[in-house]
Amino acid sequence: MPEVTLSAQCSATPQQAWAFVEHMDNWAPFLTGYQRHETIDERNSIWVVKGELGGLTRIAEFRVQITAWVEPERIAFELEGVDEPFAGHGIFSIAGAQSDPSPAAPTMRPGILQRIRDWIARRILSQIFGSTETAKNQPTAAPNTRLTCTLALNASGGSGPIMNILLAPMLPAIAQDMADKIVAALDQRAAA
Amino acid sequence: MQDWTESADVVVIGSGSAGMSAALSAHEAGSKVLVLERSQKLGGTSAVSGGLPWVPNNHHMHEVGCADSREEALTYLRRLSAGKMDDALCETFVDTAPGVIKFLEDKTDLEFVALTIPDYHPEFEGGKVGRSLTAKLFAAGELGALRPALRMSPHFPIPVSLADVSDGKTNLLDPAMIADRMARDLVGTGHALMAGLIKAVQDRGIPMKLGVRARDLVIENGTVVGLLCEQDGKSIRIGARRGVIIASGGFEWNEDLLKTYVFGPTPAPLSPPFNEGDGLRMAINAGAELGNMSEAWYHASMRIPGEEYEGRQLNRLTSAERHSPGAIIVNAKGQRFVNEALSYHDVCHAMRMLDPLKFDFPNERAWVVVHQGYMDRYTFLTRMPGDPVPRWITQAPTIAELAQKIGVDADGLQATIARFNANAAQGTDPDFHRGESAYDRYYGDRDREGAFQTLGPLDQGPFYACELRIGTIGTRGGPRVNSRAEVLASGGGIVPGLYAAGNAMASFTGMSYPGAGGTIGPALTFGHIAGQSAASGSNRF
Repeated sequence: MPEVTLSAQCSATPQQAWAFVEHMDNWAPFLTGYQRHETIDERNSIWVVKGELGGLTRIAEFRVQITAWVEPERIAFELEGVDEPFAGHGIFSIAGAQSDPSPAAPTMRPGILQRIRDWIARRILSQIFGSTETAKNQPTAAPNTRLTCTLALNASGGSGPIMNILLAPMLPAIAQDMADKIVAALDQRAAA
Repeated sequence: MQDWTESADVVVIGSGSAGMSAALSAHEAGSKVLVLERSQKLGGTSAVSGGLPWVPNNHHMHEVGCADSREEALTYLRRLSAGKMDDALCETFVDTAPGVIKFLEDKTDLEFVALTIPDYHPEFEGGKVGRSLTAKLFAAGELGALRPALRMSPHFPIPVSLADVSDGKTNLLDPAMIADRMARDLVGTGHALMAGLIKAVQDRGIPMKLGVRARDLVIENGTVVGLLCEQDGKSIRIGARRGVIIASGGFEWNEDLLKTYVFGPTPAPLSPPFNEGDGLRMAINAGAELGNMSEAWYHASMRIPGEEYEGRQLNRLTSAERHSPGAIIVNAKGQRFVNEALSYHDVCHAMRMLDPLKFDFPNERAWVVVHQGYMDRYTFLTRMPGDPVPRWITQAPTIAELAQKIGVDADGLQATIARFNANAAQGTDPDFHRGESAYDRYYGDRDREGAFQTLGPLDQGPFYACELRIGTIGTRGGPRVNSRAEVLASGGGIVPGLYAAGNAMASFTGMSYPGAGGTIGPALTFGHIAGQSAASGSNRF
């Protein structure tokens, strides 16, 4: 299953960060391709995202269910495609910056075959679209909080193995992009 | 004389197969060539297609055990064209096309193989197997800096070749194979054809300018000598010392032109949304004689809501949904009206049929209907067997309930399926003769025998349906040309300095679509001829 974990630091306090993260509306628009989301209840929501590959865009809907809500430290969730055979899970966690002072780039935890596929896909994607490198978080002037995000997404069904080849290199880029935007928003709030 | 922003001997408008073929032959004939592409991607409609040239009497046919002749090819084309064929141009095509394939193999890195796909009517006199060629997988990474500019296809997103389909032995979804091909940046289908052509153009140092839209011809003393173009919102003037070749595709994305010229329901385009008839308008302004304006290369298509290509609704190709057992097409009365396994083009002819009593098109709204047995075995657009059934496929436990959901007459649909099932169980279709032609069976289930490759009853609920639409790969009307690809003038003679090829020119086979690659074979051929002809002139300034 393609999976990415990344950390980022921000100048907001953990309390400010939690206050931001606990409300989906605050950060949902930061997701690459985000179209809209609908809150079903406090645990369940439907997310509509537009994916893009080589000029083709497709709307995908995901059911998202909160599986753990540990205030003010951690939110875990599971997601599942409504029309597409995709499923995954993720964790948002918030901690004081002193627990890990160095911001980390996305880290993958794949097997050997998956790493080969990732390399292939990164290479192809860079050739098709140009660079797939994303901007890395820069340490903030006074980091107070460390945000960590893990996101795993797996395509199943008949075309799942091939979809996963394409998906693997996209996840870090998507996660990094979203993290950068969240950090920027939190830094802005902290400075206000 | 003229204040040109830039000039060349031969200027080609469009970077599809016709345009690139023209650029290569004009260069080979000693001309300085310039290619203009309106979009930010190279490859045109050809790049998003299967990329097959249909070439009668080609030198690869023996690879699949077939032979051909000039007379057989012309007989077949004549049989299909319902009296609308341009005999002289058909002869030019049949006589020239095999040499164009040899030229491309000699002068570029492209290699072609013959496929076992039958012509769309192999049962007609002169019909054959082996006229449809495909380019072998091509290493697109060789394009270097231009690799990101290769237009990607929404229809063929993974690196497979139609040869993989043709041989029937390749698992197209084998992740190891796909990963290996991706590692080598191999591309197939139209990507392979266009990557090979673009590479050859690039190797020759022929400039390809992206984002330049040709808007009008510059004519001096009755001769085309250049173009007015738009680039980054500014007007520029491109000089053409020997000629301008219009290879800018059809006008299927221009609703006004469709309304003016194409009879019947407006077709949904499957091509990149840049084919708005730019070349046609320029040719009209230059006094060109038009031909075949009411015709298009049709393709029965379906949509997945929310899917877009270049910001416009994507209309998808159909194949398994029409050829596989357990699938039928019905109209609003719940009645079949066509052999579903005919070519995508011919199915659309039936969808476009006018009822002269009611003056409507009773088959314009149509649905593919399948049963659970189909869903267990075959693909349905992007849905694979075993995948959850997406909401864009309507489903119901019974035929009557399905009919109600999609707005089709329930009694009609039940009667249609009962009759179809009884016959299909015997491997026959007395109503529409599905399964009798080798083509009907070609894209069916190869694990079955004879007509059962495409015929099978719909007898296992739930039942499913999705709307089928009249689509088009491109229009096929435009300026008429002669055997030198020179544009004919409406008052007689030619428009000096103006040439046309591909979907921008008047197709010479009328309404017919002879086989897979029936668009690209003529496009490569008349592009080649246009390049040679334009280059053969002397510089006008």
